[in-house]
Amino acid sequence: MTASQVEKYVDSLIFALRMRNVPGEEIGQIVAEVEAHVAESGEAPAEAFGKPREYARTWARNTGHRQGRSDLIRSILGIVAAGAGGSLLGVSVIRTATDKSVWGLHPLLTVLAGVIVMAGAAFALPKADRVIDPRTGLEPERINRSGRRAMIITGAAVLAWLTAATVLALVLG
Amino acid sequence: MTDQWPQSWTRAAIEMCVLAVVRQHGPTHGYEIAQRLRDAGLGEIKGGTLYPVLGRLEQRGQLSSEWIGGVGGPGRKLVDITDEGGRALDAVVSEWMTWVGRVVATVGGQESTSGGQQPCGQPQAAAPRRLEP
Repeated sequence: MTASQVEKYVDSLIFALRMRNVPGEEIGQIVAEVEAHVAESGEAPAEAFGKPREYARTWARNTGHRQGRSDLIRSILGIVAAGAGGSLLGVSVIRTATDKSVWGLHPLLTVLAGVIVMAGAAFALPKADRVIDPRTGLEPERINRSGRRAMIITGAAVLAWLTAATVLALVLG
Repeated sequence: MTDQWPQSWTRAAIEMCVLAVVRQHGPTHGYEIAQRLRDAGLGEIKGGTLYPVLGRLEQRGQLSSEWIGGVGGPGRKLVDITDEGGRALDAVVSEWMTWVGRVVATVGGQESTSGGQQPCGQPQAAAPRRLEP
């Protein structure tokens, strides 16, 4: 058993537990138990616990976690609103430079509407509860790192997209 | 004698065995429970089987747990039996003994089985008779 083997297993396990809507606090417990157990027994994680997906399924069945209906509705609403708001914002930004109005409204108004709808989407989406390591009471450093990376990538993508839209608008204008 | 038992037997008995081991030895961690069960001849209980059982028992309030020495290392989770767990264990063990007594009587084991005398005289008395020619 090597440290990277355990890390790889734990990463897959966290992902599989997330996919099955196991609460973050419980994920922290499950992961800490895996780490403690293999550190003591010297077994490879997959040997002691089976494949990450199957182990996650055992836990999901164990405590009967399901995504609640209200969470599901919020997810769908959030995704739809984010898409609609993003499209509205994109179209408006482009037309701010080229047209006098967007669908009969002042382009700045539609930009504002796009921003509001997107903010609404962020509000509607169910909050992902955080994985808490029971040994430290904190979010595991590894998850922090991957979270930061995801945020940077998303931020860069949004920025690039807005820049492209503006450039396109200027060129077309 | 083999130490590998059918999975369904393990599933049926593991909760009470875990509770019993924890009651007998006090605060214990998962790996140690697995070792004690193996030493008792109950076979190799993998982590993938054991920890969900511990989780279930804790969720029912039959075990309590506490993490020790984990900052910067893997640490250990100690579990201990609660009063509720002790009561549940006593109840299930007495029923289990009845059940085992009836199984033994049915399959024609020893004439005098210790289990199963208490609450249920009737079916137990009936079982061995059926086996007689």
